[in-house]
Amino acid sequence: MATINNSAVLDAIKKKCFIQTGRDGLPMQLSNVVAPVVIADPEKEILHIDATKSTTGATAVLAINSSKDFYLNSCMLTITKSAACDAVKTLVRGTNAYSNKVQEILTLGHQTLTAESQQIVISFPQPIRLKKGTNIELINAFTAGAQTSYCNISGYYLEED
Amino acid sequence: MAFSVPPEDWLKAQEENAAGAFLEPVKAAAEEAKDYADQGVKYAGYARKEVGSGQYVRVRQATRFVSTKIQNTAGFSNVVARPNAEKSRFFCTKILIIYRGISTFPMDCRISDVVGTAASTRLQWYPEASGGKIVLDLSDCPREFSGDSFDFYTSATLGASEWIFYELFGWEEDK
Repeated sequence: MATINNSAVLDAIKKKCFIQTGRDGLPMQLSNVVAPVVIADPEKEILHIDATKSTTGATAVLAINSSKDFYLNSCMLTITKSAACDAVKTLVRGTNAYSNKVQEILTLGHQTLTAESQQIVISFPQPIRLKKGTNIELINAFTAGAQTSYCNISGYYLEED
Repeated sequence: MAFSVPPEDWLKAQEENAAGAFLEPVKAAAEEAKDYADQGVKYAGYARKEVGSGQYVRVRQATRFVSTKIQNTAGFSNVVARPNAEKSRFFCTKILIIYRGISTFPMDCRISDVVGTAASTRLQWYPEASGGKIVLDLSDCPREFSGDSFDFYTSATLGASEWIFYELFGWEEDK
């Protein structure tokens, strides 16, 4: 029998097993049997991608793999624009894998013809599933002035869909 | 993925985290770090590092928690070294940025993981003049910062009453 000597491990055993040490002794020995545990969850292929756009129109932040859905974990959008810029909103959008509809993931509203910098971040503890073969897009919309937008996304593909 | 066994002091630091010790009084933490730097003492596993006049950082010796308040000149200039870069990998699970009083407008801010290298920008953002907070949670998708430093950039010099406070959370594991 191997003895556990690490105080942090012993403390964890005590807490997680709710052992009352005043009444019971703390287990300090490991079994001689080694039991391997296989984690059968599919492996994640984690991606962190960013995109910048300084012209009007859409740009693909990510072209999602044609054979795997993408799980979006977080999205950040930040913009800076000049006083001459007439933009009223900037957005990031993607295609919902369940509804098959294009939806806005994150949107910033602006005061038109006003110099502004803004940023917004959203995290999805339960990731959003976006449809395979579609794009996550960053979209600027203005006809005058200057605007630069930056988008940063984090998410993953699953090894087996 | 193989995780390195955390030392006891790191477990203790996590408990402090759970109690909100790092997140709530961010400014107090900065002052605290300055005190440590001023006193030249080492406390609870933290090493202190001064990076110039009016700048101070607190770096966990294992670089699992990095914070810095910057009052700097323009450019990539607020470097926090990651001395174990050759032997270890750093995975970032959360980025917290708090700032206020931005008078130079617009301003471009970034975090890079290679000193002075825009191509190694890991996060870019444009601060609002009125101040604000950014919390980027990467706990489900940890991001590796592979360089030998955390380098904080601003496109213009900050004034005396303007500050940006960065906190990076994550873990380090052996290569």
